Amino acid sequence: MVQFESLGKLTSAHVGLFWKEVQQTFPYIKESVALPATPIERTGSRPSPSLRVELLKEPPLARTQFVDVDNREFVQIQHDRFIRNWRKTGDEDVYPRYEKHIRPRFEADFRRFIQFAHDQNLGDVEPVQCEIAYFNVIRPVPRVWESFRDMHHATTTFGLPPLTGLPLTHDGSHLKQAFSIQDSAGQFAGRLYTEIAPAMVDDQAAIRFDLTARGHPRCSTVEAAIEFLDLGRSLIVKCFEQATTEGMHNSWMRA
Amino acid sequence: MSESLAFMQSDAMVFATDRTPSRPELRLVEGPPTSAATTIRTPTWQGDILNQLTGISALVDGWDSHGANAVSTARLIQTYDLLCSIMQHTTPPPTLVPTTSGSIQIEWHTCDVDLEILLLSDTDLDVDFEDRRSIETPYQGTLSFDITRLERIIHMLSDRARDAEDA
Repeated sequence: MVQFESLGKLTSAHVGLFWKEVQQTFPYIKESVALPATPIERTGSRPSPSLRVELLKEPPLARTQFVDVDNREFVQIQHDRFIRNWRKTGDEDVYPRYEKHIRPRFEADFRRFIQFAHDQNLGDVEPVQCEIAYFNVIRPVPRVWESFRDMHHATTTFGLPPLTGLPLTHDGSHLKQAFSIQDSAGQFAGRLYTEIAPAMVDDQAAIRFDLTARGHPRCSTVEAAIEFLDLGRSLIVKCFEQATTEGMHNSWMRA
Repeated sequence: MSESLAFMQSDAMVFATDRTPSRPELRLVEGPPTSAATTIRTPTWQGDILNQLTGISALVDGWDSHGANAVSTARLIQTYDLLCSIMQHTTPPPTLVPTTSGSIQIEWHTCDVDLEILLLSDTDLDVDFEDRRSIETPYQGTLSFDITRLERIIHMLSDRARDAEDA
């Protein structure tokens, strides 16, 4: 995701014109309400507030999704955001490589949108904040974790109090964490947010592990935005690896 | 055009209303976005800020009779988000002043502190600070991703406000 100063002139007519340009790749279109504003990550301030203010207008601003034929990949645009998503649609789906698939397609589509905004005199699309997020589902593995009671055996990020002599059994845990990200010069670049929570997937216990890296590019160019996404993705991969147990790693190696 | 301001959870992906109020209205919502709204306790300054933001959101182009721009939605939300991230429990509520360019200036003139923050863009804040007790060094400049200086000033202002209340 790339966030930029709001394009006040963007209308649904422009969105239709942009769809013409990408229709071959994204033959389906879906409209929803615009995502709420995302606060700028800054050092010296607290991480994103738990409550947010929204200005509701009539009609509300729109977000348009351009969806591919498999319903697996889609681009989303709204007045201040360009988003590209990949989602798993079946058990056979394998997450495509970031370097060879996700990254180049994001860059190509984003550059196309910037050019479109320029050609239509909508204003300059200058990235002010970027975000990359992974939403993982960890399924039970025999002898590692099998129910929410032992979900802490799947992750390294939390343990249980001894509960010695107490009539208590662990029924599940929910953990949110935030970390500041430093760039190569040691300067604040943004934050990594993680959330581990019990979830039901296909009527089966699962652990939802979300990781989101959000921060500012070193300057307002596409290259700098991609650079931040690369950094965020690298941190997410390493954090996920360190936050999951050896038992889980072994089970994934065997699969 | 009728408008309303509503609080949402940070991870909200949908808007919490399926109706359009006939006049500006404030709503506090906690919990998953699709759940029923629950009234919650918030710091006292938040109510004051929301009242001011509601007033500013009603301004239309030309509100000063001299061609001033209406304040953009982005600036209204940015003002709230910024205050949420820096305000402390004892920080006195600031005055929010709409500018003719369609932005907002956040001002404190209390406890011998003059502090003004003008929102220049999504990222840049123009900060002007002076301590009338001449204890803290004055500051004028633009802050973007590192606002630790602003955090220190707010901390000092909050301490003074608490001391004044205790006295």
